[in-house]
Amino acid sequence: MIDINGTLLIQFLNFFVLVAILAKFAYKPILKTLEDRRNKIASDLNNAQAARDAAEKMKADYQEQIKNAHAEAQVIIDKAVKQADKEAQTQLASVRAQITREKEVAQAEIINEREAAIREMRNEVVTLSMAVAEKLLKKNMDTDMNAKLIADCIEKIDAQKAAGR
Amino acid sequence: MELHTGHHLIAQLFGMNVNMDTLYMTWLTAAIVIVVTIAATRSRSLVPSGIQNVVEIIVESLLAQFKETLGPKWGQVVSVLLTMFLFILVGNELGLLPSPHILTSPTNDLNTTLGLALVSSFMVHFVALRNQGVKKHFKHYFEPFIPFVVINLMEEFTKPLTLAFRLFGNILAGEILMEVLYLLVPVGVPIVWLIFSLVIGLIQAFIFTILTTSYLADSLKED
Repeated sequence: MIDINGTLLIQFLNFFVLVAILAKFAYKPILKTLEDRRNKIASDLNNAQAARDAAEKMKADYQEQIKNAHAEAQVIIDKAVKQADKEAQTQLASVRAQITREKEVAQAEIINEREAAIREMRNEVVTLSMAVAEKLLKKNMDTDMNAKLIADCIEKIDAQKAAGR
Repeated sequence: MELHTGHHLIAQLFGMNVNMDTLYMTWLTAAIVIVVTIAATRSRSLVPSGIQNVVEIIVESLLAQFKETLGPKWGQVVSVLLTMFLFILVGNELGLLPSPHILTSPTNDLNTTLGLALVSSFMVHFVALRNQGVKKHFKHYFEPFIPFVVINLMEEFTKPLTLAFRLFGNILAGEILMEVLYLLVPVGVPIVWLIFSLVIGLIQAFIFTILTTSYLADSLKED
């Protein structure tokens, strides 16, 4: 059952023949396939990582841009509001100034006209007084007459005043 | 009563006695290994399927062991180690196929297992001489100090002997027990032992290969 013979030598050599055959026809392609697959997986993973990095960078960029856009929009709105405010103030001021001016003009006109009226009335009074004096001088006057004349004169002035108004 | 297992058909070849049945089974085993592995490389797609998948699973899990044990120079001995595993595995399982005393394991012959063990020893020295040089290789027999040369030299014989006898004993005993069980309880029981033997065949192939790997690791070491 246990006898060492020539089989030992033949098995020893057999094995190396088998190794040679397998190494050439089987292991080389198998190892190459495994290596190729490893490389492919590694490169795929690298590519995926790179793509993810790029996508994240892009996202960050977009977020940055959106943030900037918001800030810019806010600045523009603020500016517009300020501008509108300023213009409204300016217009209000100018309108106020115009109103004030027109009021002053109107007041001046009123004063002028009143003075003119007073002046005219005074002239009338003088004319009437002259007329009264003339009548007094022309007629032979008594006390009753005088009183009547004066009353007439005052009446006339009143009437004139009412008409001048 | 005479058991068939362990008896060999002896012929004269080159003036030596040769166990012809062992050689036939060796060639059959080699043929199966060659056909299967080459079939696995025929399509070589990056997405494996079928036989390619099976062989790649075996090769990859062994490669993981080899790389871890042997370090960066694993490529020098990977062919020998892979062949060792595949040959022993197929050989072990071949003897378990039911046949009227035709199929036996080539590994149930001490000549085969000792031959494989000598391959292991040969590779250990060959690789060591190639990688470390003559001086360094022989120096390590006198380490850690000179008297250890006795133990170290003895180890050089015990390593292949244990490899050879472990495999031989396991497989021969398995086949003998199988035959005995068939004679004693033909129904049922041999199936249980068959399943057990299938696992033993795998484990023995793995042990032989991994032990050889660890012996080779010393030869591939840088310092």
